[in-house]
Amino acid sequence: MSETYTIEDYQKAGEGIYDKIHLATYPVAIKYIKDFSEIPNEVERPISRNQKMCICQAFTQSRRFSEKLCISAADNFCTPSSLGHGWVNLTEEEYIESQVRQGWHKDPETEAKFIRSQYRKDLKEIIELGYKGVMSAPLTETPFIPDSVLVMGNAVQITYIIHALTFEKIEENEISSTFVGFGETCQKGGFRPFLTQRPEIVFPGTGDRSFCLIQDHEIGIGMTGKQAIYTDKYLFNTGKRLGLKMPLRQLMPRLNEKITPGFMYLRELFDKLQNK
Amino acid sequence: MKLIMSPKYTIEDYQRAGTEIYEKLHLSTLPVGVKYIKDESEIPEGVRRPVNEGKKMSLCQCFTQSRRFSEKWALMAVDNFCTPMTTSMGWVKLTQEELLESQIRQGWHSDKESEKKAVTGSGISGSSDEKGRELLAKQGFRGLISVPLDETPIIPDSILIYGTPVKITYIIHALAFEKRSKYEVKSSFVGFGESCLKGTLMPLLMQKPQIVIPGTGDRSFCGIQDWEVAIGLPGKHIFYVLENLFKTGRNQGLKLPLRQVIPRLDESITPGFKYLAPLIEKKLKEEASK
Repeated sequence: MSETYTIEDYQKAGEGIYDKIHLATYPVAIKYIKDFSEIPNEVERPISRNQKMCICQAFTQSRRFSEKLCISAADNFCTPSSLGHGWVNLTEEEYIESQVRQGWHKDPETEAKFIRSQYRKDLKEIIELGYKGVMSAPLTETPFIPDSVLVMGNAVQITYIIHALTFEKIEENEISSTFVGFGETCQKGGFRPFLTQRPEIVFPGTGDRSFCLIQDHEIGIGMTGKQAIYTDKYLFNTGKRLGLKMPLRQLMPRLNEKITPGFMYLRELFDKLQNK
Repeated sequence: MKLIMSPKYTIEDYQRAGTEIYEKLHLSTLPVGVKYIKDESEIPEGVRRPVNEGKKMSLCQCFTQSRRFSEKWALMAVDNFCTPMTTSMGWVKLTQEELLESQIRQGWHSDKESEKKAVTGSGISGSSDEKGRELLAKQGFRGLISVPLDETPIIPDSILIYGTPVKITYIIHALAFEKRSKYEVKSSFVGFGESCLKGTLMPLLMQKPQIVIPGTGDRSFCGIQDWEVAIGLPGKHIFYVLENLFKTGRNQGLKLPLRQVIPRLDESITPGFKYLAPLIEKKLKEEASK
């Protein structure tokens, strides 16, 4: 996937995925910025509206309301995620202390393990990347080339995407995710696919479900921008005619009247009537 | 009471409407067109019969095959293993007592008296209550045809649409947009005969839409998913729905994607967030002053 794509190509892929698998909400285009001068005119910052928002709320506003938003440390009330994205230069100990105060896990040791495992890089390395914020837009109207794309849907819609990404079994599209119930849309849906260039399955976590109205049946998949174009290209190719299609085809068992006594009773009466 | 079968819309109009509602609402499965028939000769070419393929099916299974596989099926008494429905639909003339006996053997309700009430007095099935039975007897139906609406070869008497509750709410809003009694959506629920009786027969007999919360047969036999509900419409109502889809509330009404308002929050919401907030603020100020 070494091709170069234009913003219009990404918008078309957004429309393709949204329409072909009948998503309930738009795919979200995500871009990480190092300088606020990278923010296009139509992208708003919550602090300019005198608001604070978290990253998962920005994704919800983009996928449901078509809003284009930029979240930085100054905009983000979910302070642990500002740190997790390396937007502020604090220490790992300070990060761990915040999580200990939240009390998510058994003890401080467990919190430390959790933080170190979550990003697949240590905090210092993430801070050194030098990112200062994230932009979020509906992919169908993205004003930027997305680093990552997050698609939310029901389980079968995500399976259609998994099938498309794995259609050629190329290594860079391999999907392997771990699940801890935290940092799912922001980290696994956006930042990690950008850092590792691999797709991630998202099972919305605590912040997602508490702050941004993700519905019970919704899960997601995070991928790179280019993988979104690949997905659009290969949707429904898996298994040709045999594969999962829209609508989903499910096989039903073959049944007859013997299944219940009342059905059988009436069948015998019908047969008697017919034989008269 | 006479059934109104206006010839205003063509088969192609219904096919287009099927495609349009499927696309506009991003439905998971195709809308189903249903036509009740009095004679086998009404079955068009290309519509299959289970008995011809050495099998039996129920009505709800036909609907699933149509909405998921685009299959066209005709079902009459000999095809239908769900014999209580053959009887309720009036396709075979048995007595109320015989229908009741079948339900007692099923054991759905607490006792014989309750089964009797369910069979004869619920008033929801369109066939079980007195008015419904009389109306149904006059029609003399002997079977039905089930097809995906976007490929319908028949003018449908009823249209059955499955979706998440919010998809059905979009349709309810469209039907209720002008608050006309003709389009009033009013349903009772007993957890039986939902897709077949309420989803297709009642909309035809009463010319009113019905909300369907899939019942025992639906959920046992035909792969309906836990989150699915449905609405049954008299055939022509589909055009009214399409005319008024997403008009409710203009800009502030429910749209696709669904817009949900999220609460305004700040760092004071949890102790860990609160702990980091002043540290971050201090750092940002330091960086800004460099």
